[in-house]
Amino acid sequence: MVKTGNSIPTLVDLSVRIPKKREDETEEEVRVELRVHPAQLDGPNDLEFSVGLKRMTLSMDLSGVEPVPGSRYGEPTKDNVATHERTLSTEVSVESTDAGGGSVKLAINPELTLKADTSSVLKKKSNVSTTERKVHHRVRARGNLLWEITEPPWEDPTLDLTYMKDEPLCKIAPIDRANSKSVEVSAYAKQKDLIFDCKKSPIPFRTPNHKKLLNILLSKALSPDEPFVGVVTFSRSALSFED
Amino acid sequence: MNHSSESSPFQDRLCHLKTDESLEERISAATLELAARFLSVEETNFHEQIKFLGLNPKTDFRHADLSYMDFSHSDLRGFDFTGADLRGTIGVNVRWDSTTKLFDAETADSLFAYAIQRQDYFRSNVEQAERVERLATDYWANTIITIATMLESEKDKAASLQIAKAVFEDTKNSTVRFSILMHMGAVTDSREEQKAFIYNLLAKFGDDPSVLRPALSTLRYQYFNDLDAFNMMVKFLDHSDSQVRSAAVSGVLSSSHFFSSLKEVWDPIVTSTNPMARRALVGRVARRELRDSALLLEDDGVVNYVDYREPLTALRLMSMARRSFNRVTRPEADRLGRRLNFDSQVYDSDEEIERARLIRHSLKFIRDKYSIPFQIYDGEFVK
Repeated sequence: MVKTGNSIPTLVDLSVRIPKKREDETEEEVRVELRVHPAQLDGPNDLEFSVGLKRMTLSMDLSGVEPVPGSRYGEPTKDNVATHERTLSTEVSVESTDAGGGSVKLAINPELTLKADTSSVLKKKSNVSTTERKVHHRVRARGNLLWEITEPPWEDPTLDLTYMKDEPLCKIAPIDRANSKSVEVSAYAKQKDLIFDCKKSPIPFRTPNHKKLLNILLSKALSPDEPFVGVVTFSRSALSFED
Repeated sequence: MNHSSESSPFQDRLCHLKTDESLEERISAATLELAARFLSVEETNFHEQIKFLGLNPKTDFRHADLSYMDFSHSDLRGFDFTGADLRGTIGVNVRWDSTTKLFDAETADSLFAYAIQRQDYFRSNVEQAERVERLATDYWANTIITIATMLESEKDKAASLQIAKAVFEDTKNSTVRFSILMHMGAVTDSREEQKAFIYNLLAKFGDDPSVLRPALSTLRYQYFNDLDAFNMMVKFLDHSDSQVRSAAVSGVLSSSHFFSSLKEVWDPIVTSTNPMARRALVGRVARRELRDSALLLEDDGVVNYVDYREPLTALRLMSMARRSFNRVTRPEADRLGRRLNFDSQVYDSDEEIERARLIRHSLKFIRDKYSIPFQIYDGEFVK
């Protein structure tokens, strides 16, 4: 039996498929397509909201099958051996009017020296800088078969992309003698991770209370779950069957 | 579903089913109507606001972003804030207890932070909790001496502070409270912990001026860059006690957020009955608008900025002009004149009169831009 639903596909569109496997294979791939985009919402009296997400979670529930170790998507691993290198950043300015012969040699660090003829006025400035490289996984595996979708901290936090394009979220393998087998993938967000922006309003938000409480009202309205518990489920895809 | 002829139960199964529901269908017209009405309602009390929106305290606030909200005069008992972002929340006269669920909530710089920290501390220091209980009910003089000695001692200052704060909360004696606040001021505490304690005081003792005055002064001097501290001080601008109001006005004027929130704070500040607050307002605006020539607006009688409740007569403006030569140099005044389109060429060649006119021009500029009700002499100057 297949049950799938995207409650607001213009905002979050999730589809899951398990492609046909070869006869000699025991493992199968759960492939996912995920699109998240901000959406517009028109209200009365020229009121206009935009709805977006800054963090979303994909959750996978398995029954009768188990995840294949090492097959989860977006799972960076840390090297067992950790090393720490420290580079001192130094700026040296030298100004000399020494008319004597010879030369000046400044050691900034073992690999960098500054050498100059001091028979004339010497003005030298040297900079040593380091470059930091940061890596961010937009779809990142967490424990308990969860994946968190976020933008890197140095970019606009609103999710607005196709985050998975038929990517294998995880491989699964059947558990021996399990009667019922099912895979369920759901996409949800906590209400604090929803962004409601008043694009057009006849009256601006008077206080932070107005803005935050309105967010709760709209989040609650978005949620298909009864009762609302602060989490909005956008999509649920389930495959279940019996041998 | 029959899988008997298949080698795998999941063969080439595609789960992709779009519902036809759009955002507009999900969020009903009635909800949007309610949202629009809510925006036009002037009510700022949290309790009344959630009643208006029909929100359920037991479920609707879980995982919500409530940062920097104001819970003043609200009863939060029974609220479930599980996983909520409560950072920077403030409030005066807020009731909450163990039925307020804060599991996994972010509470930094909030009115809840101190109570949570206190609970954690005394849970693992049971003996000290018993000591707090004894001190809070002891004869007041004994309590004051014991806590003062503890705080002045070099031994385990962190523990002494924890005890002092807890006794402050638990005692019913206002003399003990005042004494503890005074002694605590001299003892270093972490910035976050001290602020959390102050927010806790303001939430619990919102009607006690003896607690409010020193608490607001501490916010003013130590947290003038913090938005949550600014929001908290704004709450006291219309307090019934004039000294509390003055402390709040001074704090708001000192804050780096003052000019970005002018609309919200202007009325209570400009109508302040405290002359020091009025002078401080002129000083704040003068430093922003006149920059290095701000002291042109120094009063001719006292070492402070002018009070806009007092008429600025020709005599006073001339006196301010004479006094200003020691404060503002000619090039500085010329720069200001050019910036404010003050045409000195058309005026008298007398330097004092020209300076008096520049002062008047500056006062009028500030009056027109900020609606500060200066009463300014408008005739000719004579020596």
